[in-house]
Amino acid sequence: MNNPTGTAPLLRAEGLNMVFGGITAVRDLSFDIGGGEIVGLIGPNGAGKTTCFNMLTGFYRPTEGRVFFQGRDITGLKPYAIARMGVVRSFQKTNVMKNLNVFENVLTGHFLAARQSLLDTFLPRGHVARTERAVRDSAAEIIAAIGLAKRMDAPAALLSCGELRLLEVAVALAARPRLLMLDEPAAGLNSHEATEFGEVLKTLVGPHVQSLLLVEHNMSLVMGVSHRVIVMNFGEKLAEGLPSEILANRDVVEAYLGKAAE
Amino acid sequence: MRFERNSLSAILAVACLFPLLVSDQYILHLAIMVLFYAVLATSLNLIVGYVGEFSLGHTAFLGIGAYAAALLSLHLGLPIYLTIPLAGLIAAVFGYLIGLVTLKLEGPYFVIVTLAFAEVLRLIANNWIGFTNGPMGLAGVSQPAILSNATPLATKQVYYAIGLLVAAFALYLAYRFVHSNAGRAAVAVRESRYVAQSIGVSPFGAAMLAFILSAGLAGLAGGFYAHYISFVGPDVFQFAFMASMIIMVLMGGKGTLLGPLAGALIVTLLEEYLREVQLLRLTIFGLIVMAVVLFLPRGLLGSLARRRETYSGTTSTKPAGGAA
Amino acid sequence: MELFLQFVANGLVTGAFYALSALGLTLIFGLMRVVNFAHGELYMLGGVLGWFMTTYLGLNFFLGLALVAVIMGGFGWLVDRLLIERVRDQGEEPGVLLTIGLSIFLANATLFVIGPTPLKVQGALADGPIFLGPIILTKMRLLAVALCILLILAAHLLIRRTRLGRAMRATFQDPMAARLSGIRIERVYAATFALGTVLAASAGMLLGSIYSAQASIGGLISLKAFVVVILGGMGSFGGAILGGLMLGVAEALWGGYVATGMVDIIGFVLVIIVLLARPQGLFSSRTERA
Repeated sequence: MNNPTGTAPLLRAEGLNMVFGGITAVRDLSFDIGGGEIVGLIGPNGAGKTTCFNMLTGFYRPTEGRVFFQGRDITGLKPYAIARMGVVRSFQKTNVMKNLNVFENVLTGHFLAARQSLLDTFLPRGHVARTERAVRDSAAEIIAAIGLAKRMDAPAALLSCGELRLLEVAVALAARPRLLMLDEPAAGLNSHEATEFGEVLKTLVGPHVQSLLLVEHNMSLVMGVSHRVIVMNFGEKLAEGLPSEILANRDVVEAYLGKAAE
Repeated sequence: MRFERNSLSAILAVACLFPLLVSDQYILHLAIMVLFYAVLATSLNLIVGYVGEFSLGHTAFLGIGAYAAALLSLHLGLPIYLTIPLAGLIAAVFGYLIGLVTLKLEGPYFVIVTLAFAEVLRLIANNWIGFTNGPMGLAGVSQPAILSNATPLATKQVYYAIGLLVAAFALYLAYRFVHSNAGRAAVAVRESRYVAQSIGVSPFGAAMLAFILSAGLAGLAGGFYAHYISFVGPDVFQFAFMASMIIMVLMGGKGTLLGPLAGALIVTLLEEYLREVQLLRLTIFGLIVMAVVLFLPRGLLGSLARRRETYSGTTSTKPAGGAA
Repeated sequence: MELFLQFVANGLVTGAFYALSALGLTLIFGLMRVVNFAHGELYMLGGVLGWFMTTYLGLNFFLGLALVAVIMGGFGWLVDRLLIERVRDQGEEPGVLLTIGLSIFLANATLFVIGPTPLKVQGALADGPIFLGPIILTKMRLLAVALCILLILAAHLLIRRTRLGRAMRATFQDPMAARLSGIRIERVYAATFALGTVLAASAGMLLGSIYSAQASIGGLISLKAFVVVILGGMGSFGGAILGGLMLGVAEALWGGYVATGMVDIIGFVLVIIVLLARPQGLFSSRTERA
């Protein structure tokens, strides 16, 4: 277990198994994520990365195994309960609220920050107005930080693919995650946008989120941004280590590129 | 949001002045029906726009409110200013109970089960003679005390005032909900259950709040109806009311606050106009529903009444242009 | 015991018709993902047209049935091509609303034209009882059930054994792929809707010959058909048959042993209970992937 801060891990996955019907999508997967880390999760298509995400965030109940967040067992909790504890994720097929504009999307994302009692919903007192203002300011800040300031009033349905991915991250950030989990956030970005995006991600850890778990296919992005990389293949953990170690690992290369002809 | 608030205030002002300018009983009756339908349409719109599903059983809550007010008035002798709020509360409670079942469902299942509930209630109302007096209904629902010797015109004016109070209250609650964090959460659920979950919104909880509010408002309308018409029978659960509500919400534009008001006005006038051809009325309604779906999917006010939130703030970001 | 058997027999007879009627609905949903709220009105029109053919025009029952099938099939085709086609790509809700509007229109237009009195479809056989052991059934009921089973079989064969049926199943599985392999999916959709309409209308005429046809019956029939389809699973052929029989027997037993007044309630209560336990129906399976 590689842990830069030397304290208990933020997230721990222990022996996760996911079986659908006759198919084992994920087999005996264990890993940790420490505070202050950016961890990349890579692997060929079908390796089980999104399934892993789903298990960590409550969208799937693991057939076996446990997930711990900040020491608490969160296995099988409902997704929104896990989100409330500070684990927020984005989705592989872009999920934003298409009928709202960018600002409204991120504002809505501030749900947890702006929670009110029933009474306040219908008979708002002074502090509600203040919270609303604070939340709106925060939404604008996040949109600026992520690079969408120019598109703040644009309906989400009209955004380009790259902008949609950014919006997803912005909405996730609004939920004040401790651990932010992004599923292929750079899909659809060109190399320039991807590099910029990587820079943005690096600035997030610390001030905005504690740690980041990133599923990505864009190798330069992952290797450039991650402190540590985990490789999955056929539902199992194939390798784990520093980016440089992973790049040099023959098994990993084989998994992606296949064996050279003898 | 400002456009909406200003429009609503303007409409309220006009509505307050209205009875001072009009002394025709018939027109006052129409106006009262508009107020009644405005509350109903707003309540159905909460389900359509903020739960994201279409309920065909909304008459259930209208009927529950009507029967509740009638029974409270007839058996317990409660005055109107108690029965109407209680009718709303009772309907809200039923909203919770029915919501427990229906909100787990989506799409056509939701539609059918809400319809099933309304049908069950109608059958109960028709057959539980001891409680609801069956098809004979409950007659003689009490009038407010000040009307004991009033002229028909004065009666209408008083009921207009009461109706206006109920409508204003209902719209206030709806407005507050729509513009609150809870309202945004419901929209998130409607748009994408996955995104909603990942930002910490419980889809069931958010939908339930909208559903309970919607049931309560319909119950208020039902309670008002019971006193105004002074009679409640199983027909209050009939589908004709539902058809009217559907058209109102569709024509006015789903998911807006002003839309249902416009829809209520249009449909009430339409119903009156078609009263001559009573037999054809529902036939034409059917045609209108199809026409709106085919040619006016966003409703008459759909695009107009839809105002987006914009940011005009004081941080270093560029402030959004344009009025909210 | 004999009473019980009689109830069950009655229930199975009614259930067979529920099954036939629900079959049309489940096919249209299963193959086209359209929730047809006008289903009950199509059933009703079958009954009314059946009356027109047999009682009004005095035609032979079987001829009348064939004519009703052809006419209603054509009507269903037109409804699909002219109305449903326009909202097909807009998701489920516009279809729901459109068919609701259609249902309101058809029910009230018919009511306007023929009035509210029940109409009798002239049956093929003289009324007369048949004794099967302790059970009493009328000849007409048996004939109607037999026709019902024939129609169900015919539908099954159509879907499983013919080119059209294959085209239907292909289009359901993947419309784009079906189109790319040369299938005219607009025609397939229209044919599917027509098939569903024919099944509903036939059920309406068959039942109209046993009881009566009435302009206002559509709503209740729709509801019951939906109950059956939900019980059996949306899109499941076998489920519709099982569900129909189940509902028929449940109603007969409830009506016989408890009370005849609120028989209709049983279906709704069943549906509510079933959906509480299994929101996807008794026999269907649904998976969601994030």
